[in-house]
Amino acid sequence: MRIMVVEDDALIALDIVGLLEDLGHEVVAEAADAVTAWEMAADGKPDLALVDIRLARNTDGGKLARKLYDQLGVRSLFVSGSITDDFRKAMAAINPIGFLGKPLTRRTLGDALRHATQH
Amino acid sequence: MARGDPAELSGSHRQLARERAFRLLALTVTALFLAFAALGGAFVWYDRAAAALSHTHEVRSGIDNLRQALTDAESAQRAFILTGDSQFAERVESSRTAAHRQIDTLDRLTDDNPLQQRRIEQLRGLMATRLAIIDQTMAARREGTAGAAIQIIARGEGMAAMDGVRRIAAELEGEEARLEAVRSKQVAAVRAMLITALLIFAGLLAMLFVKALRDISLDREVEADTAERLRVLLADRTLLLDEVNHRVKNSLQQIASVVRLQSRTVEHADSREALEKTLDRIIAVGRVHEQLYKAGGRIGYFDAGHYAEALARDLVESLGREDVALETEIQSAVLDVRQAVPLALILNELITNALKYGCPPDRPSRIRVAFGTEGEGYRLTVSDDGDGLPAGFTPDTKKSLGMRAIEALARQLGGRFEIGQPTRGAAFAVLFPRSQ
Repeated sequence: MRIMVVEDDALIALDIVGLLEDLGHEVVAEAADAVTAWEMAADGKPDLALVDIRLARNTDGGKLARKLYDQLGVRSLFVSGSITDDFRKAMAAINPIGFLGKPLTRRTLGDALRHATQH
Repeated sequence: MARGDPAELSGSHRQLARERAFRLLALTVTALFLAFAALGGAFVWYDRAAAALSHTHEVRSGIDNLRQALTDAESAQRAFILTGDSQFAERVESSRTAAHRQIDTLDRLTDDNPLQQRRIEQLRGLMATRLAIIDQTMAARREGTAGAAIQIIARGEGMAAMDGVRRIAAELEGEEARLEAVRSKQVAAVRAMLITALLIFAGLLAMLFVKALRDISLDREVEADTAERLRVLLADRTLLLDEVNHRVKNSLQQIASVVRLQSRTVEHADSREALEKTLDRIIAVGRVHEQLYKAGGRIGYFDAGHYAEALARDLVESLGREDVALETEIQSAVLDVRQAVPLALILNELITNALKYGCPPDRPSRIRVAFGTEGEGYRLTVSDDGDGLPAGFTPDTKKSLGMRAIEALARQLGGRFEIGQPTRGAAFAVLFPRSQ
């Protein structure tokens, strides 16, 4: 799949890109904040977005995911250190692929993406 | 926080308010009690003053009656002298009786007043003189004509005695009139005091009522204030905890990412394996944190059974071998938070060891993880059906980090590490007590 990675921590982003490539996916865009991510997604629509909730320059991964889904139909896989029940409920409407806690493992990421391709 | 601990602040505020309310209440109740006592006293006083006043009235009417009785006696005497009719003699007698009765009454009424008593004695003497002279004139009339009687009258002794009676009576009356004036003033004053005391009493009661109402509303305000502060404090703490939780998980992710990135770049298989092991250990700690601070869950709640089940399944599945079966016999047990990380690391070491050494690649294998209570403590067992340990194996013979770590962590839990002697494969157990 062609995946966009939206993560503000550079090393974590690098790690995620490595894991995705190991799993046989193509990372088509990398962004640290929601604004850049939106521009990149609009330029070349990815198959899905892997989105951290708290992003650089105080931007919000939840809002970005909503916009991606509403305007481009791109579904998101959330990866964050703090996923609350409220957040899950709020995001239910945009049909997310899943919510992954940190730290990520190769297996949890792989399972979540396998799940996405099956649907 | 700059404004101090709100709970403590409002606590001392309430304490002060309570003390103030108590002082005010004590003061008001004392005032009420005093006002009540004054009211009672005034009532008694009023009663006495009114009684004294009516007493004075009685004395004055007694004096009038006495004078009247004597005058009546004189009139009857004159009529008798003129007519000699015995009915007038009877009237003199009845007037005499009345006069005696009146003077006795006066004597009794004024027994608290020596001055009046002296006057009454004088009056008694003069009255006796007057009545004796009346008796003399009447006796003279009975024996002869009116002339002899008139002679006695003409002597003027009777008149003089009667004048004396009138004078003393006037004196008595004057004294009583003075007393009456004084006493009616007293009664008026006491009445005024009584009304004042009543008004004060009513006023105090009203104050007490108003104060009680104000206290209740003040107390409600303080309570609402405290509740609001606690709400804010709780919200602050929840936010803070979420923030710390987020940062811890992010930091663990950063460490895991760095280790994983490093493992990707090393060529040497041993080095890569060491880094992968390190990564597993970091992730095992991360999972503990995940379970301890699950958003919306019970903070600090660590179910060792639940953790062991999930970690075992995860580790076995990430091996990616269909022919390795996992068998679990796990009881749910909530452990002290301090026991969570050591137990997690032990589990991670034992299971990764079993997967590495107890599952020969050439045949299907079975790994068994058991956890549950044993006596006063817990027992964790991980066993496999592999080739078993080399003869004479102890944790010390092979100085692997894993074995030494398990021993150290078991000690940290206050327990011990045991190596079993199964007929087939290898078995390891950690026994540890409940946290105190």
